[in-house]
Amino acid sequence: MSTNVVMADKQHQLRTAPFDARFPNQNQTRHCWQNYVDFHRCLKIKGEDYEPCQYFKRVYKSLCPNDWIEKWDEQIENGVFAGKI
Amino acid sequence: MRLMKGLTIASIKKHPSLIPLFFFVGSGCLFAGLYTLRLCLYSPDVSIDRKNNPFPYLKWDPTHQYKLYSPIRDYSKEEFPKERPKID
Repeated sequence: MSTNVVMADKQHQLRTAPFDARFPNQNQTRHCWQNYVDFHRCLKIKGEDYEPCQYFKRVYKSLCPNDWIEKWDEQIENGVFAGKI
Repeated sequence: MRLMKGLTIASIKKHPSLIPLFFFVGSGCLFAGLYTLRLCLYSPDVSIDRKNNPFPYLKWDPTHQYKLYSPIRDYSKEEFPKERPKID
């Protein structure tokens, strides 16, 4: 999230998900999905307390509708998530 | 078989103004067909082989340019942000 920075005022830096060449078109659904899956993969590979994994969390929080995030979180808790983590 | 006037070589010679018509309509159809084929084979949103290659875009590196014409973005300079951990 370091490449797209807009200075709002001195205290807050507004940022959003940076451009990803794998998802160049208008439909960013897969961008959202991929970052959600990558966040959980990162937690699994690097451990729960690895701070740089939060990069993926910030990206998917910017991109994904909150409904989807809640639905997927529930699915992960219930063990029925469709992605490969 | 009797075809319409203009579909045989002999009648084209009598109505040569039909030639640009064939040229433009033909190239339009060809372009539409070829572009659809490009979408099927190369688009990141299409997965032909769902078992072996369900996510074709995962094979792309950050410099891969899919767009035919990209005046605003130089893809050879694109890269993942430094804070993104490597989990590939």
